[in-house]
Amino acid sequence: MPAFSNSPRRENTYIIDPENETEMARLMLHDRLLTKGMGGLFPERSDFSTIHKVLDIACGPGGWVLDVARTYPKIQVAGIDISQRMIDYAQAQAWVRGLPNASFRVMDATKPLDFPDDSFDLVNARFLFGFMLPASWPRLLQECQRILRPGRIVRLTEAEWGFTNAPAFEKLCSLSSKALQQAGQSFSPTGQHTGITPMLKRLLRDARYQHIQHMAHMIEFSAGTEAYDGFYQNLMTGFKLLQPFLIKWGGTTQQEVEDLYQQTRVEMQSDDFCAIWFLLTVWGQRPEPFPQNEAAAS
Amino acid sequence: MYAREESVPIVGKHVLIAEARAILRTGLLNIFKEDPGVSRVDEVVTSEELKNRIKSQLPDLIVIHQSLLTDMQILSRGQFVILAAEVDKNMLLAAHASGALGYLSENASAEMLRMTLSLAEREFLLDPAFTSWILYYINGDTLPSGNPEVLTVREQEIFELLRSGLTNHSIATQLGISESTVKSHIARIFRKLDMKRRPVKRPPPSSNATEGC
Repeated sequence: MPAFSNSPRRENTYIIDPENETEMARLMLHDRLLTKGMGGLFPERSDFSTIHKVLDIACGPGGWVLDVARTYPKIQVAGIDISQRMIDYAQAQAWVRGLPNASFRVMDATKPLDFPDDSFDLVNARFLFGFMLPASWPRLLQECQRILRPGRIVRLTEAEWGFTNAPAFEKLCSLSSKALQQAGQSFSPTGQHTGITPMLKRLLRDARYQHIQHMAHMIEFSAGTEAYDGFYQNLMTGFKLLQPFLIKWGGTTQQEVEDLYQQTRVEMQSDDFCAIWFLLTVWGQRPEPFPQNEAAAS
Repeated sequence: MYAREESVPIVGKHVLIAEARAILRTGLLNIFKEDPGVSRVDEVVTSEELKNRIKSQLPDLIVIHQSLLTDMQILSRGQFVILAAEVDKNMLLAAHASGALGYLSENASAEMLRMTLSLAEREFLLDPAFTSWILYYINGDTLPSGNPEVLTVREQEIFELLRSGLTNHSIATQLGISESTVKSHIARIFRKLDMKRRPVKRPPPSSNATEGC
């Protein structure tokens, strides 16, 4: 039961039925691909002395949270997601893996977050473009600021579709961008890209974060590269699950997306398949309160 | 970070299926054969046969049914995936500890099964279909000790629907079975799980439930 066909769009705007079991497994794989492609869990950071409590927004099945919990046993790491089944699954995994420092709760990232002020040292969010409406971003970033301790970090990672030499693959990506725009979930004025990467720093600036920085990542998943296998499995599953969304919003038919899907499979299996993917991570600090004397002087 | 080498030659993977039942074995064989990254799929029917086979040649991935798993020690870390009809708690924890790549339902989708091909050592793909069972174990820590009887796949399915708050009638409709069959399944589930009442849908998290976050 696709979440978007029988529930009001405001309730859950995620473009794929997130409670499909294969999708949950795919998201686990996706988390790993992403972490590896980004060069680790915290590629921009070497000092962990101030990091005690971490939150991951829209954690899905919890891949990132579980990895952080395993790698940094002293860090308490929480994950939130709108899907009860996703959270149940993440909890089950934390138990099997023996990770008491990982916890999970059901929460909607587009609503006020149920955490006290000054709770976290780092709030992480990756790939929110799949469900966030442009208007939801400022409120979420305000909420992050509230639950962060002063001077602590929010970190966002988003991406555009890949660039390839494969025509059907390109067409599917372009249909997806178009569908996102039609569904009102894109910053792109023309629907030619996901539209989120050019906005990330602006969104942080508007929400008054300080010391805003960025790091770009490029992952090659051409035929024969190390990343290829994972991307192949992930994309073939992802494109399949995306079909209902494309049919609803992309101005396409079941027949057309199925043909494109089959052609994409053939293209990706070709020895000369070339592809890269760009991701952008931006991060900023919640402002420190003014020191007493400085506040008095101004 | 992904290695910087331009490319590595594409060498197809060698998969070995260890499953006693012909229908499941043939299905698995075909599912893995369809993957372009797989060049060879072999099959064994008994655990003896498996032992002998891996003495002479080690495949890249062994897909083994829990029922054939007599000795996990003979399997190498990062090279096997376990299929199960239902969760065996000890087997699941042993699988994770022994470096299995995954613990999946024998009813897992073809896509999910093929995902195991791209897993690296230290990764562990747990089938989301097993979630309600594992949550039961977690919460069951406070229940009387001793292993509860194991739910069948159908009972797990019905248990999951029960947890989501469906009535017997809706469960029967959804699964295409009669209401009286649903009732008898539920009676068995209650007995096995030592439950007195239908599970209630969990309330939304309250604001004081932030410990550990």
